[in-house]
Amino acid sequence: MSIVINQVSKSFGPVRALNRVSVTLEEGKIYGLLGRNGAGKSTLLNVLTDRIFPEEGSVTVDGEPVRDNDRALSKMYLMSEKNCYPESMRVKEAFRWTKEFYPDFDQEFAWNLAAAFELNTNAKVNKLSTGYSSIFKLTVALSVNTPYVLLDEPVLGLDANHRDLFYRTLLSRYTQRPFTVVISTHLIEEVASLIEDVVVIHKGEVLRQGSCQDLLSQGYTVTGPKGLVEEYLKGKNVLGVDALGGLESAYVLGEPDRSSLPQGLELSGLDLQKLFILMTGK
Amino acid sequence: MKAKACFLYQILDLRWAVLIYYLVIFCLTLLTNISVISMTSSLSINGEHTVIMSGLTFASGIFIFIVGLNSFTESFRFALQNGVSRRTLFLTRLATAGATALFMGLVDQLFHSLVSLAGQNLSSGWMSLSLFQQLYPQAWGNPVQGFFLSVVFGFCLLLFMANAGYAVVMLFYRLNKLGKVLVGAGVPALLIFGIPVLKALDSLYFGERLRAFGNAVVQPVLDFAFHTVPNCMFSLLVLAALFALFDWLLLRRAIVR
Repeated sequence: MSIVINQVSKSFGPVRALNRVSVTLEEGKIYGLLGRNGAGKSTLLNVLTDRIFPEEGSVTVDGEPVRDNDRALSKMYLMSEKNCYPESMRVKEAFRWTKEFYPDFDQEFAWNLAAAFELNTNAKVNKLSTGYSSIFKLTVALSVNTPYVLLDEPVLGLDANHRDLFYRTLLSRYTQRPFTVVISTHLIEEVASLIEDVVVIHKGEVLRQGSCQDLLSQGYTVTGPKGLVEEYLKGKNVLGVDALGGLESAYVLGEPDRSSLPQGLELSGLDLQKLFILMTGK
Repeated sequence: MKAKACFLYQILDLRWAVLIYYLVIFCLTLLTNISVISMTSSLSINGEHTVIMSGLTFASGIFIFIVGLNSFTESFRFALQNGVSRRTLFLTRLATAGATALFMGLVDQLFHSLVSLAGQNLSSGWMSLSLFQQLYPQAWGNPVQGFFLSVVFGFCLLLFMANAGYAVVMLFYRLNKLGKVLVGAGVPALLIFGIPVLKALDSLYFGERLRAFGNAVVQPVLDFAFHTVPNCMFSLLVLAALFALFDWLLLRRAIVR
């Protein structure tokens, strides 16, 4: 049971948005889909849900192609940045219609979550502010009960309290009934503790895919006085270095040898956001 | 499940528009008849005169065409948001157009019949004629047969108009900016200036051979297509099917913008 994206390519005019992308999204995992602006994250999610067509490659959901396939499409819910709800539709009507299209949609949970977020259910969906528009879409996405929920920039415009509520609700729903969640976001630090697997996209290509823990365990950070750090780094596979005054932090690939660590240097794990910056920077 | 929900959504989305349309028609009819009664009484015209109302079928055709124009973008996005495939959307939209055309064809004919019946009972001389009655008076036959044929005719015409409206909006949705400008300005310009220019060119350079070709080939085809009631209904259904096919070709590759 998985979503399999096989050698998918998509261009917009001269821009190659996706280039032979192959990713497998397994059942019951929380994925982080990470990439810089224009990396191809939204394009990939739109291809997955048959909203746009790839020039080559295929997408299957639990073994079935998604192209024009109600059954495969019914297993996914994409919360996209774009509002696809009719102009005159109110939040409460959107809940009612979602129940028609997705029979497993938990209306009671949606109403409770809307109340927790203080979302006005009488408001028209298109009249909501950016933050409340995200809240509305999140509420639907967390109540829809499909095996695969795809969240494209889910916390766009949300304040810190609402973001916290969202992360807590997501984890609580996931704990009650594990489902596959794909979170496409720029706020890597915030989701770093949530995600199990990571897919890093850069310039339309998959740069890295795998367990978040494995990725972070592939390297380490060494911090200390500049001279000592530079001496320590000789012969090592260095990802990048940050310097602040006389102190330096270096991000190194490989296993640290703690026994040969000079005094004055400190070792720590890699930080996902830092690793992402190093991987996708120039 | 998706098909049922999608059909239900599209039908319910239309209900207010259809209701308001018939409310306007009802009010206009009432207003017209009151005006006619007051005018005829003030002019001392007795009940020997017959007031004939017509044009409802045509108005319904224009209405459903405009409904077609307005029923794509939102329902397309909403359908894709809710995991509905383009094929299901197409089929349910066709079913929606069919159900709406049948309902409006029936209501239109009921309206004509009721107005005529009221006219007879009140000896007021009112009559309401459907487009079918006007085009094919010889096919009317007895009231039951006429009623039935008029409903079927209305259905065929309205289905054709609904599909045509949908095709126009989908064509514009699929076209890029330049295409929209070219089609939006080009087609009316072609209709306004193209035909007179073609006629002039035909007279000046082709010795009216194009006109002769039109008279020899196109006119007989049109005559055959719309000469009898079955031919006309069949022709309208063929046109509706052709537009539906065009709709599908445009929809199957449409993307969310």
